[in-house]
Amino acid sequence: MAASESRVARAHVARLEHVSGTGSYAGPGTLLLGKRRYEGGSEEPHDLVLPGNDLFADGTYVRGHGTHVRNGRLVSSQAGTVLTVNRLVTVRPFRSRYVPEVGDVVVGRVLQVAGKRWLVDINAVQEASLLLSAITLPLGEQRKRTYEDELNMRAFFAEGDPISAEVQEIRSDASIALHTRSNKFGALRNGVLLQVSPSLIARAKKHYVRLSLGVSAILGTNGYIWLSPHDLETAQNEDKTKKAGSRSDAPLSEERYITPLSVGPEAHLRVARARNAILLLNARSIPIDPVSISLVCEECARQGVDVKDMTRREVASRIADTVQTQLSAASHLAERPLRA
Amino acid sequence: MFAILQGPCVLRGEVGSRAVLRRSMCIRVFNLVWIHRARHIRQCRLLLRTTSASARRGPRADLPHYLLHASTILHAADASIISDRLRFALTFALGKLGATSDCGRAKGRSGGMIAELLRASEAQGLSASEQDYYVSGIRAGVRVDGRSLLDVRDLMVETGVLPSAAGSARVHFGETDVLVGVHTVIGDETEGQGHRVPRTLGEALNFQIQIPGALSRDSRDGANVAMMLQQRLEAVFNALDEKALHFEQRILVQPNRMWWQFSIQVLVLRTRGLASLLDASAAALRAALRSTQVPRLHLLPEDEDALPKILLDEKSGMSPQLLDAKLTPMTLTLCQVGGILIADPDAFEELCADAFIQVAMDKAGRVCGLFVSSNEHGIEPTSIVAAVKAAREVCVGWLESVDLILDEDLKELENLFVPRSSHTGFLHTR
Repeated sequence: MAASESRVARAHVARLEHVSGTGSYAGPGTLLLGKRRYEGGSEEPHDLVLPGNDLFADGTYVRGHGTHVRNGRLVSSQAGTVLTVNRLVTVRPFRSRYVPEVGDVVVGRVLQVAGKRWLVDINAVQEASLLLSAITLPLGEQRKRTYEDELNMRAFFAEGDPISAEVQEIRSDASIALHTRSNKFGALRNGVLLQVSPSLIARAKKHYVRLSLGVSAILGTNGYIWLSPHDLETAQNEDKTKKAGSRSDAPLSEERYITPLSVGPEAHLRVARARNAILLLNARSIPIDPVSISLVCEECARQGVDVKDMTRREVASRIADTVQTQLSAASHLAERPLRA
Repeated sequence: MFAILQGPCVLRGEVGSRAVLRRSMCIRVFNLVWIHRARHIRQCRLLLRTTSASARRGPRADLPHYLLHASTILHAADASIISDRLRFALTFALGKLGATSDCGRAKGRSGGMIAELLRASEAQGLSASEQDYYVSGIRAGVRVDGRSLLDVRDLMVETGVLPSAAGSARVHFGETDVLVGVHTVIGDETEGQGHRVPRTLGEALNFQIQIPGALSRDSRDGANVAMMLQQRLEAVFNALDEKALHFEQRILVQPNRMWWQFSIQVLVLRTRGLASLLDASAAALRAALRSTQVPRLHLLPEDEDALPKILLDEKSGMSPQLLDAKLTPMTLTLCQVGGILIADPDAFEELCADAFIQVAMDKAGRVCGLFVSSNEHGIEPTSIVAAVKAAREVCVGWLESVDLILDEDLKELENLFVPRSSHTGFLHTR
């Protein structure tokens, strides 16, 4: 339930931002300060608030994070969206570090190799830890981790290595445990790591996506995004082998761990295009998903914008405006059944 | 002319004193060539004469010219006209020599190695595989943000941002955001010990550079970066001679006794990486200096020994002079990644770089400063030449487009102050 709720909240935020950006709506001021009741299950379950805004929580309520009581009224202490669960009123801030949930796909960077575990930066309040016992060994070996493995930990992941992983557990002291116990997780090679605001990436069915422009992306829920060129030929081969019935869970070959692909200028340009599109979306606080990324790329192609010009301010704002209009038109259609 | 060659390329034993790093540097370096082999090569002798003479004459010379000389010699060396020893000496002089045991100490003492600081300033480096990706992109001619090798990012300059300063500017450049304010004070010889009549613009500038601690991992990094930035800005602006600023008219209030002292505050608002920091600061400083207004003064002479009294010129006092700093330079940072030269590296490209070359260039396309630092493998002299050439195009283009806009703004500003006689409006009856 929490996941779907947050998705709605994010879509909502995006639409409101669009509205306040173009000014066709009554404007953000009226929207934020207008009298409105927040009750569990009301038809407007989320709204934007600024610090100091009255949350209109009448009767009995429980103060949650991001709120405080002033003159007997419950008041927001952060800029964000209001969430009410029964009588608990919380404000979830826009700009915050990543708040992990079990099962999230994250992209991180190894900070330190400690005894029997790696400390990984995943943009959360604390560094996450990845236990030696929570990784897949090369070639998918199934065995107990030995003392030698412990000495040899840098061979798996060294400091500075970008990795993808899943949040396995959030312990009672709020420390985060990751695992890479699947073939799709592990060290990332041959690509670039981007950092965006975690609130722009919604939890979705798929975080490993192939963008239409020939780039594969890992959209980490924590706001780290890994982009790598996606070779069209090898992809076809993979599909064939899949169809031939080989398990997708088959043990990894040694090659995939070691060999860097040789990448041509054209592939670099594709990745650069995706990167600039994502950063453009991030700068304008538009939710980042395959749809919005490809919309930006299409728009750029239509307007004849060069890849390197996508980072220019005036170009970026022009493109972001059109993309926002398109997205909000689409989200109006998409959101209605979700709310009903 | 000065070329600061830092790190391993600095001659052994001469690193300790900063004075050595300044003007005497090229003389010493080329003396080395002289000692080794110069008597065999006429061209080399020519080179030596020009460099040492220009170094004696003053801080300005045509650097690409002599560098070209150096590279022609190297080419000649390739054709085995010149002996190996000369080639060795020249490459040594221009920075291509492996690390020696002294290098470590040199780094620690000079405290200005970009690469060193970078490693400290980025809490997390790039992994080897990411570096490979960056390098392969650069080899393919496409950088990670889609630029080609010598493309630079947009430079945005805004002047007059601080109402209380005599001149101010804010510059956005890449990931860097810098605010510079210039305040004017009258300096005279009686004030304290450290004050001397300035001979160049650089000497009339007092720097105060602030880099918020949040931008670097620990406060010492910030201090080191600020120190490096200050050294380089001073060096660049010191290189300007009197003509650059109508020095006599604009800066000296009374020759040899009183002058305008400019206190300059550089506030780094945002930065990632260090390469674009100097470029942004120099651009901001230049724009701020260009828009700096110096009040017009009346001097009331008393007797010959005492300092004159200063009065603001009432008639024209409200129409201050603009500090016409057209000839001040801008800088461009280039770095070498995998043996390939790229302009204006971003924070991650910096982490992959083997060497940095920062070139300060004025509007006429002359080199006003050159800073080279490299890792232990050094840098090819030819890439210094290539860097200077690339910087020439970029900097001159920047300077022209920035000046085009600044000139208009400043003309407007001057016009604002012109009709002083009727400033009382309708009360003015005549």
